Amino acid sequence: MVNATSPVSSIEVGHHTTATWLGLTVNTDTIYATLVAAAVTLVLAFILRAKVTSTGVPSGVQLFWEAITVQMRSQVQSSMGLSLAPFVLPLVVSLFVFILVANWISVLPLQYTSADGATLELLKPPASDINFVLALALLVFICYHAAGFRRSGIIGYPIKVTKGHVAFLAPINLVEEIAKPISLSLRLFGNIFAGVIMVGLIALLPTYIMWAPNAIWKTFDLFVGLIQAFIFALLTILYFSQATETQDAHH
Amino acid sequence: MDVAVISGATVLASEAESGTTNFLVPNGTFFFILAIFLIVFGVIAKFVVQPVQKVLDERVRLAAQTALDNRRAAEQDAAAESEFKQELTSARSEAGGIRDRSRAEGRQVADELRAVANAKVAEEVRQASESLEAQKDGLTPALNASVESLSVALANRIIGVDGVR
Repeated sequence: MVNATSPVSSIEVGHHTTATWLGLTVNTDTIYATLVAAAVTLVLAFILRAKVTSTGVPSGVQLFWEAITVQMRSQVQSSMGLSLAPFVLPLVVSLFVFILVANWISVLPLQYTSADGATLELLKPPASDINFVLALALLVFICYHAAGFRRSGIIGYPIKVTKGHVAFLAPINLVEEIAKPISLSLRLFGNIFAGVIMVGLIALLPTYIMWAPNAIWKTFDLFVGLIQAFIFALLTILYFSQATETQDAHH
Repeated sequence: MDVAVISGATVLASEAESGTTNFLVPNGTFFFILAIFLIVFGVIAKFVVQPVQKVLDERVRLAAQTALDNRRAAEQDAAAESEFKQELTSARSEAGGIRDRSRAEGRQVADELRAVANAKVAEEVRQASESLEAQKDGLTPALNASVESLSVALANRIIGVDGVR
């Protein structure tokens, strides 16, 4: 039977290694994993930059970026049009690829043993840290409201958001507006955090059987990571289109 | 599994007791993540989305250009074809004209030659009949003159009288 006091048996829920930088407490493991994800994304970006071609045979990296850009562009075009907020397309492409890479790096089975003997994941998925998802969701929140203000005016936009389609639903509209960044961030957080807990639970199984559910779960986790990255980008587009639509656009 | 849940709860409880922060409350990591993402966003906007969109637009332009070139080539082909046909038709009609003209010329030459030959034949016939007439005119008085003596001689032979008058 597994001993409860043993460090291997305990599930480390939301435990982070911390440090103090610039007077702020930071979770160094999250920062580290985020930097790795950012580095992978940037390397892919620079490879594209070096080899991009319109007449020759496109490289695999170019096809990857093209597929994502085309997909996101068609989503943006169908929901709001590209001209309303030209920075939406790069924003959702960045969000999608960055979240995707951040979710997928945790699939690598890299572990280290800490000073007190606990076995820890080297690359924890950054989205299992509330700071990561909040940073992205609040950035999206601020950006789409800024786009809304630019579209409907400094007075017209708050009225439009509050009133919505019919005036008496104003309280619900306000709640919905507040719920948007929370649901956007916590959806991603919950899915990835659950993945971490699942891996922790599977790790409690005896070694001779552990590999099977672990392989199945990590495979499913790849799928979850892709879907969550896609949903995050899709909802970003949706929020932008809701913020930038005008009354005459209603049907 | 019960043990695992209990130990997880114990970790939470011990964290709360020892004053460590609740992991659902954001801390300074927020700003660092934001900064990292903004860098990624900047690079992707500048080095990925812009060039990729340029490539996509360029590809659409190239496809349109190729379609236009194809249409233009087809138009030129059709124009050359019709010009060729037109040339062929005019050459045919010209050849027909030349044939008709030469046929007419040949007929004219043949007619002329035939007329000349006819004239010559008529002339020769006329000359022959003239000379025959002349010979006839020359011979007739002589023959007329000899008719009397011949008839007398003939009559004398019939009746058996020698030519004594």
